[in-house]
Amino acid sequence: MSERRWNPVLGEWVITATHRQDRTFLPPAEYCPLCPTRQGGDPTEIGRPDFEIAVFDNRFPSLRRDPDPPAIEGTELTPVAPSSGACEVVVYTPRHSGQLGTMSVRHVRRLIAVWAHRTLILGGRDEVAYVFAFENRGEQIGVTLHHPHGQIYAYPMVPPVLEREVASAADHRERTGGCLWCDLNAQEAADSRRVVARAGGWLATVPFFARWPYEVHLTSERHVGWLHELIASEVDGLARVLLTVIRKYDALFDMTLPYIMAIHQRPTDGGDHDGYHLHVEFFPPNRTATKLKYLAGSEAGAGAYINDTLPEETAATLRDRPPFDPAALDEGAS
Amino acid sequence: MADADPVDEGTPFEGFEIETESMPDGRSIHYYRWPESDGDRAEARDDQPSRDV
Repeated sequence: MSERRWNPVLGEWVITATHRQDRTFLPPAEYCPLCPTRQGGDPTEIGRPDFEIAVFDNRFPSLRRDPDPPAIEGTELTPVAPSSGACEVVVYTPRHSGQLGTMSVRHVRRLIAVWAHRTLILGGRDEVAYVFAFENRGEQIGVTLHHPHGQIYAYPMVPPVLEREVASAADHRERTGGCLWCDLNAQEAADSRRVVARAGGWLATVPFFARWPYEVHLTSERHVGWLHELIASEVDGLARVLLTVIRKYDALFDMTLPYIMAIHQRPTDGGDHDGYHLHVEFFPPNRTATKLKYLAGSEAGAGAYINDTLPEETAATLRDRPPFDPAALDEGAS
Repeated sequence: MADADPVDEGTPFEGFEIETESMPDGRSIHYYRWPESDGDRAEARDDQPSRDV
């Protein structure tokens, strides 16, 4: 059962998806549903092994192309709507071991191509207003399968955080005539204290306004809105800076650092979003190797984030961790 | 039935092929392949966890 319920207090949709309670939870590796089906073995989600990256419809989607009608009747004050859209799983590799940070530059370029292609395909559907590619890494984030994978949600609305960013971009453009992220990039590059890495037309920083201790944003230095607008050197640059940031994370506490990776592109709702700027956001929940930052009273109850660290200091810490030069990363095999 | 669909949309992305298949319950799966990587896949198959338990 899945539907959207309107919250008139916050002005946003909430998606219910009760069937997701039954989804596969941390199976042993030999029963991984994201590994290709072995000859004579139990069928998995992946019927064949001869691919680099696979994308399939989530077995437990909260959004789908032909959703059931809402199971409850809405009112004028609290309308309900079908959960139309799509939820896709992106299997990064047929291999069960490893993770995004251990993949080659070449393979990450291919993953970027898949993200871009799925955005074009899903964003071209009439009912889709926003395509959101993301990865949850680590059981602390709620990961239920360890095989390297990410997800893509195609929403029938522009989700709340993106809607706020779109509005901020439009407001900044109206006031200054410029792009909010281009101006932030210029400020961060000139200041340099919060820069973590820079290469191939991409700047990685702990933002001035970071809400999480080791939050990092990757922003293209050229004004583009979607992944498919990148030129070849920028695709290579994104792959290298992405890998650099993840490997720095893993060197931070000498462990695989949990994170949420969110790719923010322009909406696909047909609106004028020329002022919006492609970027990638990372949110690791750790403030130390063993302590997590929780969304507690101020964050969850009031929406006011309290960061226990200074972005200038966490950026310096990340700069001091290897790798130091994105351009020197191995091209690698697939 | 697999539907081979060579993709070269003039983007900077290296040319890839997609084969779309129907899963047993009607869902779709898209296999992205880069033809120049044919020789690399045997290594990936050897990396699967054993089910001999």
